[in-house]
Amino acid sequence: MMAATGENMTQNSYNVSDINKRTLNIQHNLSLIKPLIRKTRYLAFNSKFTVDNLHMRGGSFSALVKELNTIVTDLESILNEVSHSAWEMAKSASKCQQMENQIAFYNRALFYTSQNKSTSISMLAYDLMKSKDWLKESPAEKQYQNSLFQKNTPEFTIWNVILSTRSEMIEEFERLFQYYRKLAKLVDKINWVAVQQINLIAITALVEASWTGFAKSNIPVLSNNIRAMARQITLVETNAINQLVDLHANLQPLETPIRSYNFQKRISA
Amino acid sequence: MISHELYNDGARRWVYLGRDPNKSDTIIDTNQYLIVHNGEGMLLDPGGIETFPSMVSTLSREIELEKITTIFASHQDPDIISSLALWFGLLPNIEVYVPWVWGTFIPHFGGGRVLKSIPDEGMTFSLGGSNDLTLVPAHYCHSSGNFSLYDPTAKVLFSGDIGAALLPPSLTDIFVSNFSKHTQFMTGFHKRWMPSNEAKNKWVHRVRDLNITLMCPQHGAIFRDGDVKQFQDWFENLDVGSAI
Repeated sequence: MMAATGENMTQNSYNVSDINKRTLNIQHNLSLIKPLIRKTRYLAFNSKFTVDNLHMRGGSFSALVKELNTIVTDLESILNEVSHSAWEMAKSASKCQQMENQIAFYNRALFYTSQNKSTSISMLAYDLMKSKDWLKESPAEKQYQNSLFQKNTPEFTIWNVILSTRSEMIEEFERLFQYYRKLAKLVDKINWVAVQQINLIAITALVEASWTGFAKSNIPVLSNNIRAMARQITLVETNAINQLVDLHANLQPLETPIRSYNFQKRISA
Repeated sequence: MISHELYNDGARRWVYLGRDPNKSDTIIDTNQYLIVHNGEGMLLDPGGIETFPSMVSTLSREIELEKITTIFASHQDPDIISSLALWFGLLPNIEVYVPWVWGTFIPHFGGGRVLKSIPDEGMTFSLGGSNDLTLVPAHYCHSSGNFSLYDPTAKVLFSGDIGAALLPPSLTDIFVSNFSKHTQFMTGFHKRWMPSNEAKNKWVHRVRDLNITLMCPQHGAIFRDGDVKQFQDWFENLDVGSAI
């Protein structure tokens, strides 16, 4: 009989713990945008203040500042959604990890219990316990299940718990994928709102400033600062995108088995 | 893990489960117990998550798993009940009884289910039509919410951590064979883990008049016949809460 080491708790083809860590990293990275947003808002306020204070012809510039404020507000709301999705995804990954551990313990129980049976059943249970890729229906699994069919044994009870836990885990993985897709869309949205729009506004503001005679005021400086903000947001967001790519690589081994998963939730005697 | 029948009168059985050769050296050895009455089973301190696979395997030789309806956890320690979520997964209809003070702590072991609370004064369990399994308060021995279980039919007292011994791996006998020699494995444990002389003496007073032929702790060896009384005397005279 082998020693209880819990060595089969980590799968080869994917690692739920990595998925969890990467999700939290993305959330952390995107949260770095928040102070940048605050700074952008502050700069926008300063620009408006300058225009108002100088009593100059700043009508169109004020409109740009107003638009910038709207964008910053939108960005904050997207980031809140990101935060929610990443949190749900991390929660989902934790649940999957917990169920994966439970399955490992049930598999061990199944092997220990099967040792009282014939050598062939015991060996099949050993193969199942050592299997690193239980999301795919293995020949050992099929054979083991056939040996239990119509027999009301403890192995039968334990096997059904493994099947139902696995099925719950697949459902949880599906939820995790949904949150991942939502997260990817939100990151895309940040790219469009934060980088392209803010940058565009900063350029427009600069043009406006020189056009309307503010070239010697501090408005060009402010609009340059806004552009710098956009650049910083791009950097943070690029990091997040890279992590998202890594996360996708972590999730990929799961995609096909989950899509093609059609195992039974239970077998009946 | 080995199993050993401690009592059997046809209707009621007590089974010891422990001394697991598969146990990792990193975890403390634990004793688990199964009471069966008219085919219905109850587990006393079913053990930690690491013990679960061996427990299920050994239990399945003693009773149909689905016939286990009740779990009693004497207190909150991980070696007592960290397997909780796995039991709920395996036996979804099982009822788990815990001291009320631990009612919202023990669910941190998972399972997402409401546990049954045991009041401070104790209670009796219904099992297979019987109503005589009685919980004896053992608060602060060692946990702040703690119970022993007395079976007047089998004359067995499950004492939880009271009477526990930290045995060297070479001593595998499940019964105490020489009480005087055995005390060396109990003294340190009781002095350190039991915090209150007053609580300890109250427990001794509660169980003194019970008719006990077997006293079954959660660690170490089981006390038989005269050793039960010897243990009570030894425990009463021990100054606990004094190991540091």
